[in-house]
Amino acid sequence: MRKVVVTLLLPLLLVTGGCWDQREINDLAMVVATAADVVHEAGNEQVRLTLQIANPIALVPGQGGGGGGGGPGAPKAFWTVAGTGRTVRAASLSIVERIPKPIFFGQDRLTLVGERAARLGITPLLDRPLRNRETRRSMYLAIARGEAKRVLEVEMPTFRATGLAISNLFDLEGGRQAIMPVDFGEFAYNLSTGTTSPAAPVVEVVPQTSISAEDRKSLGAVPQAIKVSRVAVFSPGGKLVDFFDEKETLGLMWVLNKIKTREIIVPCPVEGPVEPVVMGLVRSKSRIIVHLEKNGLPSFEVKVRTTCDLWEHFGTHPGLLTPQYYESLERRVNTSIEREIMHTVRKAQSLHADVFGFGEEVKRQHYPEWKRMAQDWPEIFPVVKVTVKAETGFRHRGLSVEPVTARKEHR
Amino acid sequence: MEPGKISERQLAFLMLTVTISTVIFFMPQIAARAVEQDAWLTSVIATVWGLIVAVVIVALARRFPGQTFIEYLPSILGRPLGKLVGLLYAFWFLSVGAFIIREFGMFLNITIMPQTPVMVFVVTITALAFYAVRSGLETWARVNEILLPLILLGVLMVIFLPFEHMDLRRLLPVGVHPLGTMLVSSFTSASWRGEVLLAGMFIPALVSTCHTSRNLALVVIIIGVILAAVEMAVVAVFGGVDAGQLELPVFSLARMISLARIIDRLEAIIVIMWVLGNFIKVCAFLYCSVVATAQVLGFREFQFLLLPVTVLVIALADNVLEDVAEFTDFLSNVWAGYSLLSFEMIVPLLLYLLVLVRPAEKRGAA
Amino acid sequence: MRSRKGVLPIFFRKKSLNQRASTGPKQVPLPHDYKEISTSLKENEAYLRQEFANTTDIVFREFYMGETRCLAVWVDGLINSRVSHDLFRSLMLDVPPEVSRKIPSRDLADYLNRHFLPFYSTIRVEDMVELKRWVLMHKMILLVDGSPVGLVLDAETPPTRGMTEPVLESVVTGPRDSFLEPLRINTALIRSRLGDIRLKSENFIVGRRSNTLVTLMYVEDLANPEIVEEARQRLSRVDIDGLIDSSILKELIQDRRYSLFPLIKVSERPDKVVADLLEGRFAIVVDGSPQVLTAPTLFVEFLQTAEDYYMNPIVVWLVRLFRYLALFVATNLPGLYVAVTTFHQEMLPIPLVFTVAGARETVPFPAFIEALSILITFELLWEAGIRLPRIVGGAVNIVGALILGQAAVQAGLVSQAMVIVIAATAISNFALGSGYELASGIRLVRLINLVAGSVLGLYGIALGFLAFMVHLTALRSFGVPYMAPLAPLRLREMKDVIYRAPWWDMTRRPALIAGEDLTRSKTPPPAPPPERPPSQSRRK
Repeated sequence: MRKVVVTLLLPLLLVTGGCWDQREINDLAMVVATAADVVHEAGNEQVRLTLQIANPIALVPGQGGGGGGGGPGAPKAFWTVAGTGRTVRAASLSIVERIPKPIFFGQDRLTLVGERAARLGITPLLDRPLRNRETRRSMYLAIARGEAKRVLEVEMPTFRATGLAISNLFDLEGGRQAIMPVDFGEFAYNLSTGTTSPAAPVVEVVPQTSISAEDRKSLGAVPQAIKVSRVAVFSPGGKLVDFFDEKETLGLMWVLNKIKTREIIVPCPVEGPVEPVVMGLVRSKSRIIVHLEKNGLPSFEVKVRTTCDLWEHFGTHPGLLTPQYYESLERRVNTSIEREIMHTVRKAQSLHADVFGFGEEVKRQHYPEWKRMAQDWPEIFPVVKVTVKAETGFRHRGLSVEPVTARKEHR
Repeated sequence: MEPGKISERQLAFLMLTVTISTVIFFMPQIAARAVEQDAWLTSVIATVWGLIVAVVIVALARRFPGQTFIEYLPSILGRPLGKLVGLLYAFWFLSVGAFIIREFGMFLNITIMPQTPVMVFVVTITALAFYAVRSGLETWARVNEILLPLILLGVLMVIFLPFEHMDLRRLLPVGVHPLGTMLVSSFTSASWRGEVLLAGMFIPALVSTCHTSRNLALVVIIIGVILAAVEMAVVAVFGGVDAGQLELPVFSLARMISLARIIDRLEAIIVIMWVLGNFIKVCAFLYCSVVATAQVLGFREFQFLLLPVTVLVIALADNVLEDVAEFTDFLSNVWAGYSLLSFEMIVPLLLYLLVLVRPAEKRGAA
Repeated sequence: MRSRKGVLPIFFRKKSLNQRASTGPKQVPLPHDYKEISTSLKENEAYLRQEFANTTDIVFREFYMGETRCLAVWVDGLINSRVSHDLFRSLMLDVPPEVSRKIPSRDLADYLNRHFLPFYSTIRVEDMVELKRWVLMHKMILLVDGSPVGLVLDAETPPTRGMTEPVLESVVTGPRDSFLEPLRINTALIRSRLGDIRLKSENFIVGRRSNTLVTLMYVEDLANPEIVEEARQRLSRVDIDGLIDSSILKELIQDRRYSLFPLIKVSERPDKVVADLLEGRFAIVVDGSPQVLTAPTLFVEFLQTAEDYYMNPIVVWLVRLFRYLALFVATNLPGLYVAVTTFHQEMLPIPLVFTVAGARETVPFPAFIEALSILITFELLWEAGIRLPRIVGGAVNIVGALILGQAAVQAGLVSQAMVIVIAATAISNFALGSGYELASGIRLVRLINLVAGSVLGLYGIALGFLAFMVHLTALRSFGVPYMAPLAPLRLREMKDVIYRAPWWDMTRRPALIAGEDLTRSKTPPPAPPPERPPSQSRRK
């Protein structure tokens, strides 16, 4: 009996001693996205941290203000608040004074870094999220064109939090077109290699495209939207070097195996008017093979294998889908891929930024030679020879065969 | 001395849990910091040292059936020296037990409960271990039979579930680091493997001993395989350089797990694995230090020593190694010397050589 | 009578396996106090009347057989009146008058026993003390003047109710009879299913004052003799005034003073008891209790039902998985929920974390108090539901479901999430299989886990789990480790733990429990008949 009493009393003792780490879930200010900028304030450079904090009571239907959040009195679902400080942690501490609940980073899905901060060097901004127990390495990292704070302040019609919208976009649409999600882990890995240039997706604030010129006059303020489509390229030291445009991003994504699905537009191979044909990518896999040249420099061969479907034939004339043209379709897709990659390679070489991890590949495949050239890699990379070899397999053409007007000729 | 009997499988399970419950959490960082992507190779090399310990300890036990390691020390070394070495071993069990308990608390501090004082963890786990050890060797050996499958399941999940983030090419190039560095690192790795030395304290309690050496060798190999797999997973996810810079790579690994956005954020697995595994480990070291102390001092019973030794372990645990950085430093620099290269491998090896060289004297002493 | 003569001789409860009078089918160990039956009926009657003084429910029926005076004594209401009527009819009317003249009066009782007593069981007793006790054990006794012998006549009809379906262990398929209160019916139910000559039964009388008949049953070559001997020892150690129910005996003979988990299985199903006997366990039937004890017991048995053995094994495998899930949910969910929402908020996926946090926004209590209050409400509802008469039960349901659930949520006193969590826990609590005892035992586990989870989070839950594991594995049921075959792990006996092997594959009995004969089945696995060439005639 004594034993039983002791066992029952022990936890009670602990209760009275205080539960050190206990916090009620509704007493936390849950951050869903963070934006870090570096601003010039009070004579020196300061970190300005913008947090997007959820207000759960407005997110649960049937409770509190609820649902639409329409009325002016209704509590907002998310609150964007900013603070400045010498470091990231100091900045978040300055926010603590302004909100009623302790800040909790455990649900943070996205960190945005402002363009200026990225140009000054991103490394100091990364330390706190990587060290903190609450944030994760699987958190997405993105670079904002201009100030990161502005991105989080955009109000979206469907998602009430920009931060969640962007992380959702990465979750669901990452790998489509030029959307290349990068998480902290990958970015940190690339920085840790010392030779690879990390890249991170770029978020821009753009006007909602459906607004015509007249609307713009009547509306006064222009509704804004978020666009994610390109990448920012960093030096191996973690400083923003340049932005890739959409085409260069696509080229990069081939090599990094980041493409899940995308469209490739090629001209129709059948004689007659040049009409676009949209090929849909089903899967692709690329490989980098390193050859050592006689002069001791490496040369790279990028091999891409893809499988494509026909998604759209934007035209009128028949004949495209007779087997004799499959091969030419494949050839055209190959050329298109090769051209895209080569375009990106040239751009990267001009930026002296090894975004592809070519250096890493040399290390993996030819370690002794790599030790020799590791020091000089920034000089070697811009001059190495790169060849691309794409190999496409055509799979199917969807549910119909020829364009509607062309069908009768087949009878 | 030990009234309970355990089966050979229970012993093998016990050794597996004792070793695996901590090594997979600390070794990846130490190995990756030393040899980057070749971390898993050190685990393979370390298997050799582990095998030596396993074989030697069983061979010694064969020579002195029915006696624990501490009991036959005087027969080999002579009474005064044997008792002295026995005392050293008793202290070694005690101190390593204290390290483990301390490490246990600090781990929970960095991972899930930063505000809670380490002493809370130290006292609760030791109290529980006390309860288990008092319930008898049979009981906690059986508890382990339930826990080990759970722990192994957790390890497998941690190894395989972060596959989305894995890039196996990060393991290349293989074996490019100098052999010397790898050997040094393998000693650290094998220091955990060398904990099969504890089997020397359990062999007299076995029902039969026909497969003991095979089992222990298998244990060492299985741990080698699991550790290598964990290290490969860690390097494949974080890369060789980064893995060495993570305080707890396996914990970070579990945080990367995300399956279809439903099975997400599985640190829970790690915490559960850690607590379950360490509970058995603490039990084992507590038991060994109590039994060793009793045997060195020549008592027939050991139950009455349990409470004082438990209190002593808690007191020690409160005073060893203050912070995690110090701990990691201890593990990577001192641990190998304190365990494998002295108590775990070298001393038993010397003992065995002595037994081989001086069979006559041994008989006389015995 | 006991008040005057003091307690009955203490050796009533002392075990005695040497049956001095093993005449009838119902052996009862003899009392060691001894008083010879006198040849004078007057003397005997005086003794009995003195012993049974002030007891109005004892019937003394005096009658004459020819000229010989006879006396029958029984407890009113326990004897079948038709049978007793037969007795008087045969003795008073059918016995020819010359019998009492021809047969010396010393042998008269034996002569009557042989020729004129149409009872299916009679016992010849020479001891007055024993004879007296037979009266108390629902028998009718007959004394004949001049004979120093008493006859015990079995005309017992204990008051009982009709056969009903099992209440706690109901099934969809399988037998539907259940044990009743009278011991004899229960042993008959067992024997009728297990016609093995090696099914042995031993009688014990437990209870200084209640004189309750307890029967230990086991199959001789299946049960482990050491375990059976242990059971005998423990039964004979019991020294209590009255044994009202088998559950009392269970507490008196289990292996541990305190155990949260049942160490002896209680069943109301004869088929289950017979299955247990066939696995080498022993059964203890207590007179007056409709529940039969079987042991040694394993923990996993409480997650099994009788129906598991009658249903498709593939389905059973799935059902059992759900039961293990239910066990986990019933013990851990409230604690886990509180631990995660108050310590590890980062572990919830993002939509869930907002739902939980938003729902909790209006709740004035900490999560622990919230969980505890609903849990206690649930326990109270449970208790009320069992105790209340069926007519009032509906009202409790309405109050429980509507007022406590709906209104509390709407008032914002508790969050919907918490109500769902406790509801899931409650459902799981009753989806555990046959272990009602387990279901009531794990309530405490759940509470302790809740406290541990809200004090130390996941670490607390893990600690709680470990503590219960140590407790569980330290338990033994009649020497057999309680957690077998999980710990000690016996892979060969896992055929009936997580899944149930089909019957043709269950070839062996559990070795930790059963004795020498381990072969359960030699049935070849079912197979289609060998293919025959199609017959010529049919083709035409």
